Amino acid sequence: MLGKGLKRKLEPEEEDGVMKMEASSSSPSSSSSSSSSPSSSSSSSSSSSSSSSSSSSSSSSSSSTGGYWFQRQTVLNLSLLKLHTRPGPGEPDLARTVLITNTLRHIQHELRGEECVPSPQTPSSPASKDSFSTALADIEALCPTVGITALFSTSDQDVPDITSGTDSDNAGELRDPDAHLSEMHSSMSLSDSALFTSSHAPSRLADFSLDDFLFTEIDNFLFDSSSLSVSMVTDELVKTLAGCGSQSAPPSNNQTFKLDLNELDHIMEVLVGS
Amino acid sequence: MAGAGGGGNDVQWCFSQVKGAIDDDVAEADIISTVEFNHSGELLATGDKGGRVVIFQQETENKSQPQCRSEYNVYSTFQSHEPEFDYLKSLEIEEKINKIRWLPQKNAAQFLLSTNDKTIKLWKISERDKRPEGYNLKEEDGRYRDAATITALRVPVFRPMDLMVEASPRRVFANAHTYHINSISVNSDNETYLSADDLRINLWHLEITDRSFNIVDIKPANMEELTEVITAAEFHPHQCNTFVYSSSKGTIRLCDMRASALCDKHSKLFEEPEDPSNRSFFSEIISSISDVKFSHNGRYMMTRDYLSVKIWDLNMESRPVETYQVHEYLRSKLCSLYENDCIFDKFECCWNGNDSVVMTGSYNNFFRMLDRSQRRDVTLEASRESCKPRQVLKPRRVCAGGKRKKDEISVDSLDFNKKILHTAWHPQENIIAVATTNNLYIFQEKVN
Repeated sequence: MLGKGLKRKLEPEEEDGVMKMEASSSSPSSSSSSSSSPSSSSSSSSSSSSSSSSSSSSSSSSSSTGGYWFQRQTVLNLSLLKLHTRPGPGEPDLARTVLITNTLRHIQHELRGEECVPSPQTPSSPASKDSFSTALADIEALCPTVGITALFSTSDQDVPDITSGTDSDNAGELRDPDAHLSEMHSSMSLSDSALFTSSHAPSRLADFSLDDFLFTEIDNFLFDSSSLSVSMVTDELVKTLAGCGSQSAPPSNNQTFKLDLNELDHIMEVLVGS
Repeated sequence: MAGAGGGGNDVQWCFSQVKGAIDDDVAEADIISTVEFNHSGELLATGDKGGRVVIFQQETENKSQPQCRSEYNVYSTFQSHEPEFDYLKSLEIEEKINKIRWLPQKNAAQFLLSTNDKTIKLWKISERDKRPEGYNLKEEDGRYRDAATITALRVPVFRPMDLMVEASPRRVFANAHTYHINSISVNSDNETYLSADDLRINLWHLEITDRSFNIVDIKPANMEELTEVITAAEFHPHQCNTFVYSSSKGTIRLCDMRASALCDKHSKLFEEPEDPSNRSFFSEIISSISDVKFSHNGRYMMTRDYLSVKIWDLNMESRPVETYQVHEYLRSKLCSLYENDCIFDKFECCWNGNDSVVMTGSYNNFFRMLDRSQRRDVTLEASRESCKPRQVLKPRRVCAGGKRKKDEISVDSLDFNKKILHTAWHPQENIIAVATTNNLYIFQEKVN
């Protein structure tokens, strides 16, 4: 059950707030924040790349949404990274874990909210394809042992008619009988559903969502500080997910995922370009 | 002249002493993790990451040299906690001292409570300046005398010796906390104290170590539903039935132990509605309260969250009566501070003796004095550069943006590794102790 989420609707009068987000995302990271933890050094490259691209796009008003999106993406990536990095030999700080998880829930709540309300003004520009696969690559790079999207891409879950629940006019585009395509759509949406706001709205997902993944096994691990390691938990999850699929799939690997990504890029090009 | 801790801005602060190693290479074990004056201000205790407690004592003032204020010198050093290993969970238990709290003095000895993540210990610090001499059965070096050689009896007498300060653990309060202890607070009844971890608060009797009462429990049945943790707790300074605890969502609950045995239901809930114009992804994280302290007079309490200090009137729950920005220029940097984990830093705060000024730390070894009565504030720095005896501290300014004036430092030049988390104010005089990473600075009011 979600906590008290902070809903944020992106309306024209909110632009000031969005500008504020831009300012914070494009401002340089403090020069002396030389943290010794390896996690921050790897994430700083991804956040600086996203912040630099946001600063380049900050001039046009239509991409003010993009600036907000980039910051949200950065925070999402950082939060996932922080939750999956063991801080040290001692127990993880429960307060910190709860705050990061709440931040993640807030973002997920926002993403869900945007999914259900297709915003007509958001253009599905070609730029979104690049950013979205970059974002996915980011998540994948940040969480190599977890391979969130890999988990879902190989599970041949019975994907219900994902287009049935949408009100969007563009839903017709998705009525592609290709099961593989729908599966990939659902897998992509699990990790980054924001990009599907306009044309793709797979609001109804199969058995597993980001929520389930994050907040069942990982929560039990983090909060109860059991002896399971992250990799053990994810192995368990992979087996569970593979078992639930209509056809038992082999455990995921990054190779499969990368192939899927390439295929997906191609398909996205076709869809978005038209 | 020692005032009752008067105004922060009439007062000019000058350097008095600095304790700790000078070199920049900081040993992890030397990182100071807590600072606390005792009730008279004569003793100043520090705890560090290595589990050690160092107590400084104020030398009695030299009447012939009134401008040379009394200094604090090392009084006692002891190892309070050792690292432990939890075999059940395969996790280390840090020996870092999270909090030290002094007991009011009842006799010649001093008592303090020190705690790490799991165990609280009561330490007795006593002086010995005499020793018995002239035992019948023992030689002076301790060897036993052969009874056959004893021909006469004598009465042992006390002879003076060099002062020896001994610290001995009198009680160990263990195995009562599943989560990390963040606070301890001695009750005004001088018999009980509370200890708080992330999800529970326990009430102890100082004499009894094998039992404690659980008075607050916010652990949900399903840990997946956990969204809020306890961050700090304190007893009211005069009402022994009242205590408060703060949460990671920026709320403070005041509880009355007379109402029920389990104080899950609060008597008062202090919460300020969120400012919608400042909302961001980090709103919840920066609203998390890192410290809560009652004023000495017991009418107010102060809370510290990431960017501000708030003063609450205990009679008004809807909003604080005063809010002070500590380092508002960081608001636009929250994403970077989230990335490098600085956003989770837990700053403490403290009152002066007459509750007119409050103090809290910041980054770049800056600390802030917030004068409530005069509505003014000043930023000072604890640095090796201003270490000449009685050198007056110059106010510092941070330039948030635009043109940087002379003597200002820009936000991007701030050193976020140099953080002042722990500060303490002498209960009666204008003497403050400020802990940088591994050094303890003592500043005093400039005496003309």
